[in-house]
Amino acid sequence: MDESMHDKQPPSVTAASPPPEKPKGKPKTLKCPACAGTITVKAVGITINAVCSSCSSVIDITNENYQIIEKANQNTRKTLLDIGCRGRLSGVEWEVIGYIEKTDASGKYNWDEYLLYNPYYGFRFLVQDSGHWNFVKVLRQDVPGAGISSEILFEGQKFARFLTGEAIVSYVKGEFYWRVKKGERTFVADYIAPPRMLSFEKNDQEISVSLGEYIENDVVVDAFAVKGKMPYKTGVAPNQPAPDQAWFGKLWRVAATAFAIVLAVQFTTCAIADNTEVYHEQIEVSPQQKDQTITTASFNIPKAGNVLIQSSSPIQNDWVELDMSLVNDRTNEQYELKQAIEYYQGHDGGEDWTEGSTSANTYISRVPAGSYRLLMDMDAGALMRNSPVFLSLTIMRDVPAWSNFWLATVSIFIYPLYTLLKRWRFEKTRWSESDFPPAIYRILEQEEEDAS
Amino acid sequence: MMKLYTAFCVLVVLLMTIANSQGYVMTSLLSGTARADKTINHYHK
Amino acid sequence: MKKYNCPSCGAEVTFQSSLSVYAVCLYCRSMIVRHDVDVESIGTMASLPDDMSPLQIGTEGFYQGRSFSIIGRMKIGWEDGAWNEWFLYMGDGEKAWLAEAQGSYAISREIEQPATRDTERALGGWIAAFESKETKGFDDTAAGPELGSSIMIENQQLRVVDIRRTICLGSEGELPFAAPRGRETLSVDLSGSNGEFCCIEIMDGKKRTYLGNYVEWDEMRCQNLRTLEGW
Repeated sequence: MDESMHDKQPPSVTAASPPPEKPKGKPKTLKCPACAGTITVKAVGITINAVCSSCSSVIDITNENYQIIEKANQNTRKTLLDIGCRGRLSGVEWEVIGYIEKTDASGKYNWDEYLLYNPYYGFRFLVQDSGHWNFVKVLRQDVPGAGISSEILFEGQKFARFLTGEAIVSYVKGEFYWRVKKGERTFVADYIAPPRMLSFEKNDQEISVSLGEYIENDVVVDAFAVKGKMPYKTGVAPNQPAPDQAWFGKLWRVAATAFAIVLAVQFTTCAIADNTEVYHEQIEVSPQQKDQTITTASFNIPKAGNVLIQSSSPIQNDWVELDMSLVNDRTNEQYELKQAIEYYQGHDGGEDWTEGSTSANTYISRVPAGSYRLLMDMDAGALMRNSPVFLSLTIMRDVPAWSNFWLATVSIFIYPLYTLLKRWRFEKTRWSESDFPPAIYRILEQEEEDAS
Repeated sequence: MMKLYTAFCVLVVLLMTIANSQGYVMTSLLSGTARADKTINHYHK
Repeated sequence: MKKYNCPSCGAEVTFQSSLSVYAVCLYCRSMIVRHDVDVESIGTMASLPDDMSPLQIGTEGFYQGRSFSIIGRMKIGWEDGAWNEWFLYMGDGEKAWLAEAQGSYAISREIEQPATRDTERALGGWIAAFESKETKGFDDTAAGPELGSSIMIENQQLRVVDIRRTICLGSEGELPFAAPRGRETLSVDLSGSNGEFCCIEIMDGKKRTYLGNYVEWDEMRCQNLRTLEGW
């Protein structure tokens, strides 16, 4: 090389001698300044704080000085996912390179955060809280309102504020790309739109917003081949999707469609019903006739259909009982029914009250066409007192009845309403952990508080 | 579950349509006045 | 594409882009600056610190429908770490930068920033606050660029994310300016709600503005990547 510098025309290096080989990327090992153990760094060039796996001291590796940030002399704690284990999530392989345990301000409640690394895709977090897991990505875009608003609009979705509080680092293991320190306090605000959650974190150094997605335990177990026992799920996680989330909307759409059809059928029925009177009589029954069977004249039912028998009597604090038979003149087929007309009223302690009604209506289904008579045996309070009874009898046919409609409607909505109740209870449990529950989930809270 | 419920709704709609068109009134069916007895009655007065 | 001979070792030094004025010789690591007709060596570049970056000089990819090729790199360090600034030679002959930091990627191009007075004033304010924090020590109220400190650049609303002092830790390949070790800048990072990315750099009193956006790894469809052990 020295000789070529003295020449006027330095010889050019031919393509036959290629440039020095570039070293391929690989983890870096260094000696722990505290205990001389080996520290292996995976995210070389990015990691700035590494925790020695032998003595748990935190070392600053931004430069070759390898300063000890926090000296310790303890064994590393065992965690569910080991540092170095790999797993595949959303088609990408991730390696666990760090672990942080955090607590809330009271110190009584804690959760795990695993730092995942892929040299191509960057970093993610796997957060375990009360047995529920979230796959989290730090966002680079600005999220207006994060940390201050009660609601955030993000990617067209509304995220509702769920909690604000503090997160305090209580234990660290592995390596990190920021200066993580035990005891470090961060202000946290979580916003939910199940299954997603926006987490806003702020401390003296920086502000960051992350997007988390709820993932099922078995996804984590399958991805990382977890051998240990997964923590037991308690309660409902803030962004846990409701079990019926996928088909809840569809259920109500089906119910609404069925209801619309049923309503249309009913209106059609009402529109095309003949609704005609086939018999009417004002009957007076004297006390002497009280054991006699009353028979109506024959009347014609031209077409098969329903029949409505309407009886009324202008009674007061009295009763009339009718034992009826609708008899077909030709075949002698009969339809038996009972009607009770009871009407009482009074004046008690300054208030008027009434009970019962002066009329009774009974439907008979599917009466075939033909000539009919109605036979009646009557019992009445008036008759027993030797007074006459005045009865108004009307018989109608092809009457648009509403009971079919109501029965169909109730049948249609029983299951959706049951699902709604289950959903409401699920959401109430979800929001019971929050300081900002929507009003509808605060019902019954006061009663529960009073009871306890 | 959805399939079961949809089938159930179809059934309810069909039953109601048939009932309305044929003159069946559910409340009377349930209380028993739909039954006819082919008995010779002796109510001749 | 122009070829020269390295003044130190005679090896072939290629300048693929007419925009490049500086390159590091692959063989002897001489820093070479290009003038109109000839090249001059301004020293030797020490080898760059190791990292696990999957990118290398020669990696090709796509950005907003256009292809790019990586032809140079700067490693930038700051108080809390380091990142790579890759110099991109776009298919249309334009230049761009790919910032690879903490696992995320942002591609930006230098723009002539319309120097609106509000922008300049806001910028001046943040830098003054940053510098006062540096000299007076940690101040609770000046805890980083606060929410609400945003400016408009080319009709995009951008919020200040970070202000930091940076230092060049080394360079390789070709670059549009000389990048020796120790080159210092003051860097202001901003981001928008749609993934927009902006970086305002102040070096030797001169201000440069880069505007672009964050990109996902899959979007770039990179090829000719560096071999990573175990990946």
